[in-house]
Amino acid sequence: MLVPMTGSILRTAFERVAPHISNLDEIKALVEELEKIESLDSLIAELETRLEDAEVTFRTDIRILINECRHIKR
Amino acid sequence: MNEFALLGKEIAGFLQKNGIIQLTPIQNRSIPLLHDKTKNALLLSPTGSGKTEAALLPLLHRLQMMKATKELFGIYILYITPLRALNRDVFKRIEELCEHLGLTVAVRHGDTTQYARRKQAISPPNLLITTPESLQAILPGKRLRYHLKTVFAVIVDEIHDLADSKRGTQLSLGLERLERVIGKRVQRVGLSATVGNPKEVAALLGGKGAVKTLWAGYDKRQMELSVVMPEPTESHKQLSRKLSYPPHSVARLEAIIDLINTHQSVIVFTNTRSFSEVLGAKMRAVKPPYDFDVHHGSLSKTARLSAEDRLKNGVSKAIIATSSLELGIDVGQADLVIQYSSPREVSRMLQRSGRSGHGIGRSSKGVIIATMNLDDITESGVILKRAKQNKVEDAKIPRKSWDVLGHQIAGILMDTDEIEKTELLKIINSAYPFAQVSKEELDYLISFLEERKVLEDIESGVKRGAKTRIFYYDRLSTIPDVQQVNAVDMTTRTAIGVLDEDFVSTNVERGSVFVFRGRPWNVVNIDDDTGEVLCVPASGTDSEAPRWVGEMIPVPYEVATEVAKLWTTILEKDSKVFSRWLVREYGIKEQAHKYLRDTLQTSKDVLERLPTEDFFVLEDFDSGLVLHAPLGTKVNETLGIVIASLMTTRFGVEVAVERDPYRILFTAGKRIDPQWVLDVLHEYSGQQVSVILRLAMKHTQNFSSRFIQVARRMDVVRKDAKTKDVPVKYLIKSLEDTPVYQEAMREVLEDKMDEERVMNLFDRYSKGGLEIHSVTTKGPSPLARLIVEEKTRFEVMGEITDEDEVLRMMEERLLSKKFRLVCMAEGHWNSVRTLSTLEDIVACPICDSTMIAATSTTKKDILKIVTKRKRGETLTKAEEKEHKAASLTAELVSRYGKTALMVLAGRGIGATTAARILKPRLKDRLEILREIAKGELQYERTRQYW
Repeated sequence: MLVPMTGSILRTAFERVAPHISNLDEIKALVEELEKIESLDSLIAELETRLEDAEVTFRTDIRILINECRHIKR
Repeated sequence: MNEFALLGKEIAGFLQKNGIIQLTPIQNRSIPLLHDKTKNALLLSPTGSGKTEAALLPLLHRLQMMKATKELFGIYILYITPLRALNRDVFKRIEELCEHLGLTVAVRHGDTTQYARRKQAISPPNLLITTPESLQAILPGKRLRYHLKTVFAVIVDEIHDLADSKRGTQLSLGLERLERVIGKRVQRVGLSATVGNPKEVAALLGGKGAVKTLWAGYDKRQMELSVVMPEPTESHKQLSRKLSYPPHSVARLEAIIDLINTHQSVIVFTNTRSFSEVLGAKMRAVKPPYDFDVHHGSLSKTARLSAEDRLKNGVSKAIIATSSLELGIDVGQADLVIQYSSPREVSRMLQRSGRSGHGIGRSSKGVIIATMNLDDITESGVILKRAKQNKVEDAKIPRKSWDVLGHQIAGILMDTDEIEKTELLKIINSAYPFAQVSKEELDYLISFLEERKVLEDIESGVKRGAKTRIFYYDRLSTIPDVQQVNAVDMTTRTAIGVLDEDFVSTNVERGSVFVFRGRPWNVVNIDDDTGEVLCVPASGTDSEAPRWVGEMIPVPYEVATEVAKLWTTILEKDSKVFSRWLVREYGIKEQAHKYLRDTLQTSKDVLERLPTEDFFVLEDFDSGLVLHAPLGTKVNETLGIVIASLMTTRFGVEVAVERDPYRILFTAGKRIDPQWVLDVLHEYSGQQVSVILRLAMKHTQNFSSRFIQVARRMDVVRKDAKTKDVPVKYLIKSLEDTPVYQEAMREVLEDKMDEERVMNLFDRYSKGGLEIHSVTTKGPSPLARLIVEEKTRFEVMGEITDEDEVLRMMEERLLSKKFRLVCMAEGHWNSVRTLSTLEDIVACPICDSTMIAATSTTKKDILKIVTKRKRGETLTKAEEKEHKAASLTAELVSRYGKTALMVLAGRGIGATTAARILKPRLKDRLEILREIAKGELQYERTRQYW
């Protein structure tokens, strides 16, 4: 199966979950920032590091994004 | 196959560690089936057979497998129950296992705190236990909607309870909406112990998907059920006087107390909330040597929880409950269930008796305490027999409920903003209750909703309207929001029950009479502030009593017809085998046998034949007409309305009608010719009857109430609008061609009536398939007396018909009154005392003066006023008034002693009225009580002018 570039995975994931996101602007900025990361695993790892200091609702936003990326990957 | 192995090592190990080494029959069957992700299932198994685990264990195993391959984030299993209390119980049962497996579980319903809700939005539980209404609330939620995308299975517990109402209808569409959110089908599992029509219930659960029904464990169920009719002994009669409770009721009370004494933990079920209170109060008065509690829906959550826990922990030995304890709530190891009076339905009997011996291999033990009433005893016996045969009533699934559909369309628009009509119809038709909705019907509903701004019709589709959101969230629950007010017997100051607010606003005013708890009541006043309806017992069988049944549960057709068969068979049975047969087949114990046989024989002697399903008896006695038709509550309600309205139209006589499950009573200002009834039955066809019924229904209170409820749900009437402020008649007329009218009519015909059977009955009579035997009697036969004298049935406040008893109850109330007593002579005694603790002569303990003023306990300043006057100081106007009133009471106390205080204890009776009552120096205690009652009545009538 053809796996899309990680950048577009992140964008696709973001577009799918956008209606459920509480901190839309922050997540949009994050997507723009991380789009360049090529490997999906590195992308998820990076997203996970962002979880650590995030405020609770923002943390859930990131988890939703991670979850969706994993889902697309499958 | 080893089903334990299918659950994996961890779950199997956990179960074994907790002593579970053998699965129950339903678990053995469900585990392999639910192992297959594609299979929907309806699991039917007796109460206490581990259905919750039967559904959850294989699903938790699957979830555990998923966890091994990926990080879980989202809700995976939804567990839906009809009650918040059940949510709590399921949570407790499953919490430990989930923790052991590293899975998260949470509960969400109306009582869930904001904090817990927020927590769930941030970190969704893997298993969410919720109610249908909460599912509706979270479906369109921003965050939770995302968390729901991972759901792979939904369990619907106690599905029969939901199926029988609009809650199930709403849930069926809710599940379709959920699948749309997820984007694929989810596995659906329904659980129940009592389903009469599993095929239909399975269809409600599965929608378009197939559902496999599994039955298990019914053959292993052991039930020890019996019907007893306690009779009063001499000691009961003595206790009866002490308790102000009729001897027969005391005999039943003692029987209950004895049964509790000889068991460990007992649940006593009553049919109404108010009776559970009465029984509780009377039991308390006897002071049994154990603790017990009362449990019903009108009590606070804390009180209910504490009662449940107290029984479970063995602190209390018994709990007196209504249907509030029927559904699955685990109250520990009850070893006996007592049902007070007939449970009226088989499913109710099974649900209730199943509360005892909860668990596989344990026998459930139930005793029905029947009142001395033919209907009650035989109905109890028949229900017991049918319960053993598992002949449960069908759940009546409402079809094409326009109010629910309107709400769900709004829900779909909350999920999706805009949708094509063909797609919308496809979703709607997927749910069983709406499978037959046509395109035209949908268009009709859409145009109604568009007028209400719930949506916008955009040719081929619909989109969200200005009011979609508020319409949706304001109407999440389909449970009717009926406000209730207390009806109070003002003689005894006891609540006789609750009345629906709309019934009161349209039917009740000062002077009107209504039937409640088996007797007519005269309305004295309606309290403007509290809304309380104050009444006194009315005399005679007043025919103006409205058709109203209060909280009573309908007796099904199948039960009523079998009861009539039993009557005939009892008289046909050989006397040698009769007793043994009644005990073996119907569980009716010997005490009641002679009473049954004698009552039935006398009835047969008078009526010539006993009524059956195909043979009615029309009894004409002096003041009324009884059609003995043992067809159940709904059929007789329908038949009564149709015959009465046809007689009124054809013969110009206003005919009043009362009915019970076995007979219909017609009364009028003049004699009703029995031939009229026969003519009416003969000359109209089933089709015509259907039209007449709808016309007649339109003018009933029942229809108006339903209409307002539906109108509230469909945004025609404001949700919080008071019934009395709604111009019902005008609204009904102007909305006759709308879905509101159609839905209200459908509801009332399906819930309260049995149109089909009555149409069939008219056709049958014309074709000779039904015989009616006319007979004239000198007075009502024993069977007719059951409706003439008792009007509604059995128990309980209505049993206190003896005036002496009513007065005795009033005396008890008066004696419990507290007064502030002040010595007027020297002003040195000031004490708050309860009337019952005083001697006949009331005197100051310091100076022996009998000039003792009796005032309200709150008037603490009275002594100061007395002292001020004694010192010769000038009193203010208000003080002067108080002093005068106190002096007047002191004069009365001085002359009449404690009797004066008793009169002053009457509600609204001041010193002047008391002086009038006491003047002729009444000697007889009852006579004085009667005068006090009159004084109280006068006060209630005139208090609005005070």
